[in-house]
Amino acid sequence: MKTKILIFASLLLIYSCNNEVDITNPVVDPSNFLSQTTPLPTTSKVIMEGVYTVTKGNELLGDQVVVKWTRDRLSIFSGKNGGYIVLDGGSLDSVVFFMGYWRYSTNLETGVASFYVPSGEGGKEIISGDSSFSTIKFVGEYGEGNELANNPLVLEFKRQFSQVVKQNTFHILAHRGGGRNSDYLGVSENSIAMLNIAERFGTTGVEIDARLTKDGVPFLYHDSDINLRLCQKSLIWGNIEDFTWAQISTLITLRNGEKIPSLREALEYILEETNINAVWLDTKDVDVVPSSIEIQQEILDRAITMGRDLKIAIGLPADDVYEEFIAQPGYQDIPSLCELSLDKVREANSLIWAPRWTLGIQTSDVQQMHAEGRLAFTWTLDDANYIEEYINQGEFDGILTNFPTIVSYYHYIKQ
Amino acid sequence: MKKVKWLMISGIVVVFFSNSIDTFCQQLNFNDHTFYYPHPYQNGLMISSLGLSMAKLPEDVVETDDVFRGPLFAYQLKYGLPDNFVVEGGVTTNIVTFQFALGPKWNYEIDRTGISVGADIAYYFGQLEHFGFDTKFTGWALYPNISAGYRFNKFAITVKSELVLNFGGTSKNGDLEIENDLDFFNGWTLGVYVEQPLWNDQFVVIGVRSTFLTFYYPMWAAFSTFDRTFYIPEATFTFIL
Repeated sequence: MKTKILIFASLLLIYSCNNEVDITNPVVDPSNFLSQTTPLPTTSKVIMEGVYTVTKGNELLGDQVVVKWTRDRLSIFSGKNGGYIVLDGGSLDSVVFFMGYWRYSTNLETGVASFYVPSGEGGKEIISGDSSFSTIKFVGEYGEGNELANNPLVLEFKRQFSQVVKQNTFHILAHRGGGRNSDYLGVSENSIAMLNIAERFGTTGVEIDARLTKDGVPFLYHDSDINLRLCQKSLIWGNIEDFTWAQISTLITLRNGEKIPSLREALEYILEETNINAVWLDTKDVDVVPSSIEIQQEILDRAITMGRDLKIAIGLPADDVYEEFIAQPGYQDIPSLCELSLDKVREANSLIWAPRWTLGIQTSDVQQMHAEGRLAFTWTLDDANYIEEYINQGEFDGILTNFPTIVSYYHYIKQ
Repeated sequence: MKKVKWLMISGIVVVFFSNSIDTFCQQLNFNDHTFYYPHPYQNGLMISSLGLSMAKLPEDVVETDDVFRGPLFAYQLKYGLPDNFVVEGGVTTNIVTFQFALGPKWNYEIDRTGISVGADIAYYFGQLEHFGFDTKFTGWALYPNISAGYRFNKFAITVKSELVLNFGGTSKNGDLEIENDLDFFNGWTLGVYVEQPLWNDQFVVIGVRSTFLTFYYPMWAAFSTFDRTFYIPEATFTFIL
């Protein structure tokens, strides 16, 4: 009997283990710091961008990093573990100050970071917008978790982005609006909060998932059911498309506390509040196609009125969605993204062809698409080694990824 | 709820087997019919097993909270050598992935307690050419392992632990082939196995194994890039042939 108890206890012990993640996000409140500084003008921001050598702090960032302004934050991308730093910044007298946090994309390590650019090391030139500088030096520190930032970190300007990078538009597309729940970014996938921070990771475009409520409202959600991977415990359970928009928007809370956005809310946010210029509307249910097109056309019309460069493409991931799409009137004039064969891309007159990355770089097919005036994206590529190869050897116009920081690094260092 | 259900099933299975066959077991020669329990094998004795294991894959990788997935079929052989040595080999597969392993072990038994130390070298490869894949994956691994077991009258119980070390490999997508960038130290495992007769001298093994790994080779096609250690529980059911 004792043996049986032992065995049963062993089973209990084993099954009680789980993969719950405990991540300590650093507490960074730059409001007090920012109130004492002056925001930098666009001319100052542009001249700071480029490739920098890491002269101190290589253990955190490797040997070189990319410095890039992304809307309202300065982001730094490294080639080590998808590492990145997101900073708020401003000037005081002739010195530029930054405060924020660093994070590795591929694991859970994170901490605080701060920098300043001294007056005689480029600070004065940055503030005056003088691009004839000889050097820019970021002098800073970083810490781990909520520890004080006391490890030295120094970056020195190496070069501007190459002409290849400056002259070609390359789409860095973030999965599920910017990241998955499994990336533990502090906000939920397919939420407005995620769209708000997506650009800090170097994102220039997003993929979002569209479904249709029981009463015909398109909304953002990946899975077919209400589950704890995506949501907090709720009063309703089961197939999410069996519920009305009123039920979904009031009774379901996403994993990190947000409400599920409707497709219209998400696209309006992208249009009005971000600089995102490409939206891959992944069609999760065939029934959502007609209403997605209706909202797509409305938002695209508004973008034209605003003079905003924005592409919104209806995703055609499977044959049933494809058949529904080509049954729509004037479908060949509707911007779409087809994951299927080249013939189907042509039949739908899709703007974008999007094969899975595991099929290889397919240069010949990509070139055919380019010759026909179409774009080619590949998905969902997260492996740093392959990202480097696809950027340097491939001819894709964009990469959909869970780690836009890694794609950003390899894209911006391209010579 | 699913966890509770699985616990109940596991408990029922254990109790069922441990209550079966009483006096008959005491006449059996466990050493000729057990596979996991470590004991010296007669020189030239060969024992084989055929098993099925199911793993609960990490939710962050497979993005589902389903209970058990990822079935693996395993055929294993042990061959007795002189001086308490045993050579063990086997093939494990989930159809799109195969792993071949081979390695020596040294077993020692005092009264009813046995111990074993050894190491297996393994080569795995996977290939997938459907569902948007044109992919091949290969790799080498080393599994240094240690086991300790106790033989009761009616059954034997064995605890086995192993390290999992990566020795490189390659992956190929389309025409592009690159070397895998896996950490040398992948993780470790701890398993508990109960062996006993099911009928006559037909022995079966039920076991549970906890694996703590960064890279779980049967999941290669997910191309997980998480640099974290995942806990992956496995349940196994094996026939000693």
